[in-house]
Amino acid sequence: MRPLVAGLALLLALPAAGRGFERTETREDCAHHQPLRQPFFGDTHVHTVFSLDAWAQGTRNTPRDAYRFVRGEAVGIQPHDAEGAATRTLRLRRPLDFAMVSDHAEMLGETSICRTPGAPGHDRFVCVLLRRWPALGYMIVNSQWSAGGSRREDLCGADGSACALAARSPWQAIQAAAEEFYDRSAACRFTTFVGFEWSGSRVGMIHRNVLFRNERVPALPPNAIDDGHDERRLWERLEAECTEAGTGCDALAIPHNPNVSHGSLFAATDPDGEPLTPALAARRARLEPLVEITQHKGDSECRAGQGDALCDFETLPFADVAGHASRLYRDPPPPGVYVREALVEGLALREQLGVNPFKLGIVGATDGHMGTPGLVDEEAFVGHAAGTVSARLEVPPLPDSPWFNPGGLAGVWAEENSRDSLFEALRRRETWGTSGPRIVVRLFAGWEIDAGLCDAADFERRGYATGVPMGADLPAPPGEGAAPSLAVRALRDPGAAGHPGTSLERIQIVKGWLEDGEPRERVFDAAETESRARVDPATCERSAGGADRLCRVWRDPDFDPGQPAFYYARVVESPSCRWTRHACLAARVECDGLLGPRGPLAACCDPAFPTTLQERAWTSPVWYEPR
Amino acid sequence: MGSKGRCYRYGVSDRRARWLLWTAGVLLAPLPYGMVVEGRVPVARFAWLAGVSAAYATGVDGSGVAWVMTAVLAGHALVWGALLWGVAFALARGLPAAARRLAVWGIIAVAGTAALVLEPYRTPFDAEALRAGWLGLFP
Repeated sequence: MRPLVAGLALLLALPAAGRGFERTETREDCAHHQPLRQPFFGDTHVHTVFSLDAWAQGTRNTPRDAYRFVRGEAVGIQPHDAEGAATRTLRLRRPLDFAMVSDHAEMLGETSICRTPGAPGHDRFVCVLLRRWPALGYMIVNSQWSAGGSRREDLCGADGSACALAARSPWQAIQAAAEEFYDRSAACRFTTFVGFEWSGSRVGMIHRNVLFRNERVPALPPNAIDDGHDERRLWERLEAECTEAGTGCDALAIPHNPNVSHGSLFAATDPDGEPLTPALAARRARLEPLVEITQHKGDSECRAGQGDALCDFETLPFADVAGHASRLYRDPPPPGVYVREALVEGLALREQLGVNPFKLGIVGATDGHMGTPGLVDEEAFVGHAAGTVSARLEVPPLPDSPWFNPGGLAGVWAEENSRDSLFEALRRRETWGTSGPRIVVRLFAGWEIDAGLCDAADFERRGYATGVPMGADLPAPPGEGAAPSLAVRALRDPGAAGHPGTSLERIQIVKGWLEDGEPRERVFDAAETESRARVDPATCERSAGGADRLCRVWRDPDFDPGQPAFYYARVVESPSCRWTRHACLAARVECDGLLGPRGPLAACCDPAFPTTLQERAWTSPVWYEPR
Repeated sequence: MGSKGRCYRYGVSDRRARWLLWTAGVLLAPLPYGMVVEGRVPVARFAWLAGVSAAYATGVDGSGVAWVMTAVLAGHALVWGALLWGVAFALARGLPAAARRLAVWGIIAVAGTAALVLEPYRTPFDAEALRAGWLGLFP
């Protein structure tokens, strides 16, 4: 009887017969279509020369270059010589499956005017300032324009129309590059998305990356300078010009860097300070199903020093991104800035509003500013040109701020490598984030998950049949005494030729719940390797040990059907060297002398920056809501 | 003709030596940025950039950090200028009167040559090159 039930459930659980997703564009069907879905890696957050900050840092790569790079071609990066030729080249060891250029919508037109000889306004003082003294110009101009309300009419005209007109060219170039590199053939080698970054700021950063499902996109990307630093304006415009425009346009927004948002990104109030309404919470839940848990400017999973030792991982110990440059900005992060805190807050808001606005799936990204998506290699990190460390004029001794990191990647379980398939996977949150390595992790949760599922050859088929995948809601429990089980399987990053990946150390299950209205969280060790591997910080050589594969069916020992909860898996690699250690070894820095290194390389001997780390992956949660 | 006149005829006065050395220091001495960025430029370059920032703040937009940057750069110019004045004062007084002319012009000649021939400056706000000789400071 059980196989019959399981088979029936499989039919119901699997996507509709056929492709499993709705095709909204004209393209060939993929030859490698997998109804039970397959893993794809990508980076949906990268800036090119079209972003003012990237341009000011000497980046000259365009969206075309970014897509060339992520497909495995070599591209040049700053500094450039007197003839304008790049003095360094980079190449990804392994191409990614998908990518999205996400240039800032803010100042897209202004940057284009100042970069383009002959453009109306090109010779204005502000453009001369930006071209002749780019670092000084950027500090001044960014503080004015991004804050809004400044007098941009000198360049943009009184109504801003000159800059809006100028923004069309880069926006069209972004779309053209995405189209050129999108593989619409049956080979389905690579997928691009048209997108942009909306860079609003209130007390802290409230930035979002907007990703469009297909080539049907608004005439211009909404931006916070023209519309105000209020995410409601972004959502309104996305609805008016895309999701409800009747054009076939569809989009989702991915917030990032809650760690430096001062709590603004996960506030339980609207931007006016009023309590969230069910309508606003529902709108957010509809448009923002994901969060970027990790990236160049820090990890946002959880608060360090609160009992979970592994939370002390690439977290910035200060509330403001400027804290990396000055002690003046080093207040500790306020409550409510981490993803785990938001997930618990979402449970509470769901109790109040009937809607959980923070039902967030997980992705990772780089936020690189050199037009180089997927540049996550700790060993070969050259910086992301997004901080105060600039390679515009000279290769710096330490390639980036030691507080920052190379960033991560997004993993997606989708039927095929096409826009529609990936987009629907993103929307249903069947995604995971990694801190860089290509760890493949799969999670199913349910009430009748087979305890022996890890040994089954048809793990995925039975997982879908008896449970729900990451990102989904658990159904109602089948009866009293039931407790949810999670089946988690992780495969190590195999690495590239000559650069093997790191083995796995353990799988943890993170549970958050409400108990009498109070937030609770607990971390369970679900699976662990029998032989731990180590790394020697003196050489960065890794010992043998660790696992190639970990799998465990874990059952919640403390389940209370009256308490709303979420569960996600954290897969932890064996230790390896942090990028700073690799850079310090390459620079032959000695820390045991009387006179240690000075300048940027002093970070090599600063205990605030660890020499090793444990890279990881986080699945999207599954949620349980009492009926 | 008094003693000042003789001094002027055969050498340079304390005061003149002080002004010459200070002016040379303001134009030539590579001095570090104390905040914002790392670099080494003369006081005149700080003043020049403060002027650029002030001109932008006045003529285009004074919001944001335009005036803050003007103040920071002007502050660098003032502080380093004052310190150079002290150095020039001490140096001028310390030079023997008989050799003062030779010493002052010798210092200026050596410093000027070094500033032109070598690349003692680091100009982080520049668009094209981090290292610069004196001629690259004031395009």
